Amino acid sequence: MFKKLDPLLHSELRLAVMSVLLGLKEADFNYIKEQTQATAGNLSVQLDKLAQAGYISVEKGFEGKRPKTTCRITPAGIQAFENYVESLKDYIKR
Amino acid sequence: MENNELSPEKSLQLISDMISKSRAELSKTTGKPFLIWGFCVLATSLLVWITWSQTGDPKWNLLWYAMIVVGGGLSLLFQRKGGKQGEKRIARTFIGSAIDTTWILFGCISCSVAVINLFVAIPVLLYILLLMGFATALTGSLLKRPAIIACGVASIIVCIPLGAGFLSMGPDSTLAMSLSALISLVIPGFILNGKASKTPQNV
Repeated sequence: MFKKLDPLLHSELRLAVMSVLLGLKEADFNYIKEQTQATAGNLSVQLDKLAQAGYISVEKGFEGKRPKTTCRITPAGIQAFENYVESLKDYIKR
Repeated sequence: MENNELSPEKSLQLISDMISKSRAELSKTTGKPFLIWGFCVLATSLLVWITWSQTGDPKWNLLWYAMIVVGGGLSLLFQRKGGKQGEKRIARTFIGSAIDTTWILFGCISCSVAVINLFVAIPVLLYILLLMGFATALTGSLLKRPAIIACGVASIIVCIPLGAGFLSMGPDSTLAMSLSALISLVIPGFILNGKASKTPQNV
């Protein structure tokens, strides 16, 4: 019996965001946008979904006069990512 | 990139690609400070060697303090220039923070040793050569780049004997610092920049 893949992570953009954030202490919105080559609107929606699930924390603030959105992966996000990779290995082995 | 469904193989490939991209970004941002400080140390050591040899006055070693100001200024300038060109979007990595801390500690300890040397004669050159090689090797270890580790270790092996007496303790000992700057800063800087530019930017 296959382990169920986390539907929240099993999407190209959300998985890319989590992979980028995994090795980072924090990253701003523009950095993630550049790395994932996503559109601002789509990325914003996907970040909200990940934040609602508690996988990432999103902090909105200002740097000078410019708005700045900083994202960090949470311990729950790291755990979910690890479980997802374990499930993937299971699929590939079989 | 869209929010499409993925096959397990494609998922693993995507994870691997994104992690490689982040690592390449880190190499790119680490290479530039190595080059800035490497050329600053190299130029200063050669300048000190020439002036000290010509005049016989060890006070030319005070140029090292000027180098700290010049190097710091250049680092800030390049950081701002990079930001304006949009080269670097803000992302802080755990490894990047560890590398920053390593080099900040190196700078603080080196400055402290140099200040102590104004009051008590200590082998300041040897301490700095050892610390610089060690900091480079540690940076290579954090970045998982064996070539950078090798540069740090080679710098210690080659330069410590030179600084300790193979060269006379007068102006010529400064040449050990030139060689160390070349092996432990300039060459690793070029290696890191080279690796970063070879990595594809769009996956």
